[in-house]
Amino acid sequence: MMNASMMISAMDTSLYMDTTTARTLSRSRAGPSAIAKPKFVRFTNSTQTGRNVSKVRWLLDNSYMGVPDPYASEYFVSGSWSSVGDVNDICLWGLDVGPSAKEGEKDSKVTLITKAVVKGNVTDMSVLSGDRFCLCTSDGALYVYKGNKNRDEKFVSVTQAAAGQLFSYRGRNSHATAIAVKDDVIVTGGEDGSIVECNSAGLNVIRRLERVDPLSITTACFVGRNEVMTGNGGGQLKLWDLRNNSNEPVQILNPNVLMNNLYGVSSICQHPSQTHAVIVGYQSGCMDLWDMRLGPECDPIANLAGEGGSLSEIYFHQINSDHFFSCAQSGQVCHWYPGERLSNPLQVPVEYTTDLNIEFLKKGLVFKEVHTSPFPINSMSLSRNDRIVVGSDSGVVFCTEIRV
Amino acid sequence: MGLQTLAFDISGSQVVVTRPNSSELGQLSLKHFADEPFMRNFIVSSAEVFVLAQKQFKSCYPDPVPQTTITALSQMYRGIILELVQNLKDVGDLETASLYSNLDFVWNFCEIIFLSSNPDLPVLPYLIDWVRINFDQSSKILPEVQQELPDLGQQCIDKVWKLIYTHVFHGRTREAAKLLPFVNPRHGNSNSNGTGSSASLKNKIDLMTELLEKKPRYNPRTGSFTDFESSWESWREECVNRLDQRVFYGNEQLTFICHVLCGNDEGFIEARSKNLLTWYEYLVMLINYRFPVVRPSALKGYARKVVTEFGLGDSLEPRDIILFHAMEYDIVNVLKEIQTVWNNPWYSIHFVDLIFAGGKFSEVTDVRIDYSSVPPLRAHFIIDYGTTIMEHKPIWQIGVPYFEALEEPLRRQLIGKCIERINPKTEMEAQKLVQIAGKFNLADELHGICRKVAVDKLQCGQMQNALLWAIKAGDNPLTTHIVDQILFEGDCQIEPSLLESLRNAIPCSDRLVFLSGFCDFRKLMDKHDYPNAVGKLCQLIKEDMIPKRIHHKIIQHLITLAEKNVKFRANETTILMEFVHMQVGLSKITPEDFTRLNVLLVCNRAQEILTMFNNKPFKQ
Repeated sequence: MMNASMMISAMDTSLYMDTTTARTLSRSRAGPSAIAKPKFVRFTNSTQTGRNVSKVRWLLDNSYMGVPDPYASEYFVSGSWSSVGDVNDICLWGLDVGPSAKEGEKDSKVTLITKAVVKGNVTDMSVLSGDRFCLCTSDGALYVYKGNKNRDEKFVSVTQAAAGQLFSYRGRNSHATAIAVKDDVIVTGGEDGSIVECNSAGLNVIRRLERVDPLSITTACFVGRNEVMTGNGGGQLKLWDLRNNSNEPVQILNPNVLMNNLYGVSSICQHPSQTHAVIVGYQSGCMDLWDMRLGPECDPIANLAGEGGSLSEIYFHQINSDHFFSCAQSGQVCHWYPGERLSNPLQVPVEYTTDLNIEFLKKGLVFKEVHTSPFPINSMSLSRNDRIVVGSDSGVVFCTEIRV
Repeated sequence: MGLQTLAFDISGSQVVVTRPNSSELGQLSLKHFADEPFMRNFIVSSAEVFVLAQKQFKSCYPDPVPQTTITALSQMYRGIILELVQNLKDVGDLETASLYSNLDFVWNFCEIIFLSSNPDLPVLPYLIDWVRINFDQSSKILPEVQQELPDLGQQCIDKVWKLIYTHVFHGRTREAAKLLPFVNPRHGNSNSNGTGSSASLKNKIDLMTELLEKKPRYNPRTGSFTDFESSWESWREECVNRLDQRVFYGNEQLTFICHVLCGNDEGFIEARSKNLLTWYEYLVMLINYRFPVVRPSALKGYARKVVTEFGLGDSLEPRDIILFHAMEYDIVNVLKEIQTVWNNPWYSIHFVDLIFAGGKFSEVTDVRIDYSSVPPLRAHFIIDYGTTIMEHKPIWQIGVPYFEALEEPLRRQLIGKCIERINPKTEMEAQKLVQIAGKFNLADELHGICRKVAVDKLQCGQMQNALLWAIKAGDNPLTTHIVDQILFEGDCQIEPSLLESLRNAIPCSDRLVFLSGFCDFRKLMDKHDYPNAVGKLCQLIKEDMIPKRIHHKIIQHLITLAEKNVKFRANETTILMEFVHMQVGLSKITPEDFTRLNVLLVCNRAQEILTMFNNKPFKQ
């Protein structure tokens, strides 16, 4: 059974129209004076890190009170790749937002708080509780860091699992590629198809699934307390139950071959409340919505054709879960949300009697460009204060506000 | 002629000349190249503007990009230069900073000549802006004055006078008028010395303010040129009248200013003797007060005259030479000189691209202006700059949009050559290359990258992953090789679900088709679906795809079938018999197995014949 796919072409530029224009024109001494005033004035901040940014993540905001605070100070970490000498940076940045001298506008400042170096490319990152975060590298190593928001203190590498310990084959280190975190458990996946479960405290290996995927694991995501979903280079999704004794996945979801032939999975993102629903991004630029309850050999519920260019990461908005965000190698950061009218529903397989309460399935999906760059965007992160940070191969980390 | 005598501090009136030699410059650019965040910012931001320019070019094509857009883009580039200058100052590298602020100075002038001004209209308003940006010191002096308010000391008043002079020289008379009240500190102060000078000075200042404020301004976008000319004439007459009426008599400074406003030789000579002017400013003053309707193309004659007056005729700095080339509209020499001096194609590429986008080269109306060399120059500099960036591994992706702006087939050739040099170490890196190669339809490069990853994976013992990449590469021999390895060494271990997706790939190798069929067969066998399994097997035999080395495995399966007493269909028996007798032959099978198979097949055949007879309706 094939799903009819939907091309989403309706682009709404009204909300974020200030993105690029404002930034670039502000450089000129006398830019054209007639820049249309946007409805929602958000801050935008571009900071050059000097390295190709592979991952960015907000640290958990401990002072979050349940309501987004537009003036909260927040912290994020960035990791780089492809630097000269194969030594890469991990940076802790602080974002401060304050009211501007101009009415209704905001000033924002991103400052580098501290920096550490790590060998190999940073391939994935995930935040833990208590200002800690973990990352894995192309050397196959796994690190846990504690970011001290205090400017004077150094970055502390809390623990580190040596490269050889995690992923290696015939004495050669293999690349770690994906990380997933649930409470204090870290699961990493490698290019050799291994999955390793560690605890975050000492990075002791709890479970090792040696080369269980014949292809390389490209991304991982916890979908239950003990269940990890991984995506591989061939576009397959596999669900692993860590309690299970066997080394076999409990469920395999094959990609929609007509859309995703030979393209790998690039991102998996779980719906915040309906946890059996996941949106999966592929290197082909497609996004599929899966209902894991349908069991193996099912088809995606909806196939969302993107704008082209490999997708890098997808995130649901944690509160308003009908909205989600994607960033792609084509340089686009998009905000996806249900359409206004019921005229444009996504086509869902006939036999799927939906009990998935996802609004855009009924109303259709539209998107806005939050940011565009001519260079590939590798990573993004959403904070609880409705900020977004984006890292790209141009070395720029771009922060802005979102409105859902 | 000394080439690099150009780095000087233009913010002050004092000219400080430093002489970096060209190798030093090369070092500088290497030292900073891309590793400092601000240097990378410089490269990335300019690439972003470049991309913006290409977008504009595409959206306007075949018309040229409008002049206002071109000017805005040019200003963005200059903004990037100034950002860099500021950053260099912040890190204490003043030498490089002044080098780049010079670049902005030259860019600014070239922008006026080539991009923003209209060849048929007065160039004056642009020049006023140009000297203001580069020589205005009010941001330095005004805060000092502000501090001393309300009581200004004599020293401070002198400073204010200097500032007023420069404003007047630069043609910014309204700013000068605003400053005039400061030079009469005693006015409004009750304890005046009783000389009465204050009141008369006030009067004079008011008259001067009026003159200064009245000076007509020309707006190149809206103003009529003839209106400007007549209003300027009448304003000048007024100035001359005031001078003749000796209204400023007794005040040396105001008289001097009035002389300047009238464009008198007396005023000009005094202005030069005050040592407050560079020749650039003097040129602008000359045009301001004597020849306000000069067209850009006539600028050169006046500049020559000024330079001779300043005694610089034989010892022009490279920077001045560039300006003269610009006044001649000699774009080739401008770029050549700049390239020699800054040793970095950054300027040339971005500037020539703007001229290209502005489309002036396509409508060469003026024989003196040769724009025909612009397109080839642009291509040349893009190649130069793009290759430089691509060679720096961490930022190779930033070079891509530059090459993208070239024409085919150069575009694909260059991108191909550049990504060929990059060796992907991880799948992520490979994926980035694959994306670029795919975007530009570089089939060969795509093949090469995927093949490399496949070979790497093979070395790591990841057969199936290698297979995936070999198929992505579309490399038939390699795919066959890997499939063979999986078939013969790996005991046909391939994940069914993976096979499922591989099968949907273009079946590029016979072996893959066989592997896929064989795995289907095994799957059916595992499910105990024997009739279909036999069907599948026969299909494989019929298509003659079974490699010889796998024959014994097939025989094993047949024996299993024999043990299960499976019934074959008619044509299947024939195919299998042929297979066992003709293709496999006695030598490969043990006699016992051969007998067993034979028995099975013959029994099947016999049974078929029987059923055939039984079912045949007897004709009576």
